[in-house]
Amino acid sequence: MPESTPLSPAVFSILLALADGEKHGYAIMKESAAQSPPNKMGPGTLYGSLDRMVAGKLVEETGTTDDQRRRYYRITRSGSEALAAEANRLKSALTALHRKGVRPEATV
Amino acid sequence: MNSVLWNAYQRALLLLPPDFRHRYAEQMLQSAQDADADHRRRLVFACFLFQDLASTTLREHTRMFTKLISRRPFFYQALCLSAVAFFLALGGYILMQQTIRRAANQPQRQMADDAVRLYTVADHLAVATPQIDLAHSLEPFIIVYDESGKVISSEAALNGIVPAPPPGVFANARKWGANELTWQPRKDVRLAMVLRHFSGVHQSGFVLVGRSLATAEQGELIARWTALLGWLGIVCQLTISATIFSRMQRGRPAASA
Repeated sequence: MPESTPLSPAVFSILLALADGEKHGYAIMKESAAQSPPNKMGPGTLYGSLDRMVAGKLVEETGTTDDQRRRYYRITRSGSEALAAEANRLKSALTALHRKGVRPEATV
Repeated sequence: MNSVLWNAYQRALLLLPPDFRHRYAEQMLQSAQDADADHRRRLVFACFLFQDLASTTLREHTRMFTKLISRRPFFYQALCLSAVAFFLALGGYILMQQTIRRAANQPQRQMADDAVRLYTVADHLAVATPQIDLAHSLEPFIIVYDESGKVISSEAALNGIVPAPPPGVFANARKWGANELTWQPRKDVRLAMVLRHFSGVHQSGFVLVGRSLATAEQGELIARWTALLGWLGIVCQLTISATIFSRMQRGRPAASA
């Protein structure tokens, strides 16, 4: 099941960016940069990941476009499930970290 | 980013695999232009953009190739076997070529050793007249030079002149006692030559024994064509086999359905 496997950082960022509605490429890039500031995503990485995600039915093109150069993508049901599974995994990891007394500030 | 960099980026997008480029190049360009408008450090952004494109190009080509292999496994195997066959044919040719070329140094070696033995003890050197035409004859010939590289005696000539190898060839033979190489006194004349240094009681110098490489080169040509045609034959056979196996595999689910 693809939903149960951990997501790559790029895929996770894209799914998270699309979680609240459809977006075009640059909007996804911008939001993923805002989510994790040091890790910027370039257009190549973005569209390479989107291509794989469209093939894996995690996201789909909406069909609405400002023009041919700015197409919109939205998350699918499988994409939402994969994102939820990843959120659960992160939550468990965070709980384990807290239990072991690891604080995020300590690593900065 | 200035227009030169944009043009470069646009051209660099052509490096992406065709399918991927067709689907996403325009969108990538638009996203890059949008992002550029928001960046203050344009040069840093340009570096980031090109680095991203380079890694994407590599990744997408690898992905495309993997897809191609999984779609046509027999052709991939045929391609691998063709590459192996190519290197085997190349290795075979090099082996044959080297064997033929080394064999072309005989009987010159033996003749040069005999001449050196003779000249070392001889009171004087018999002077031969050039009767062998280097441009056409396949016969072995002997030329004797003094220490300065001046001709003392010669059985062969080229256009009426006795040729002499470059001074470095003599220096090498003096240093090591012998020198064996391919000598090309004229563009269309190639000789397998053996040069020996001798130090006689009354005279010292060099003995050059040579022979035309025409016969050896014919052998090399045959070896080259044998290797090439052999390899092409294997490639044809592999292509036919891959096509047959692919069709058989494609026909299998339809037959069982």
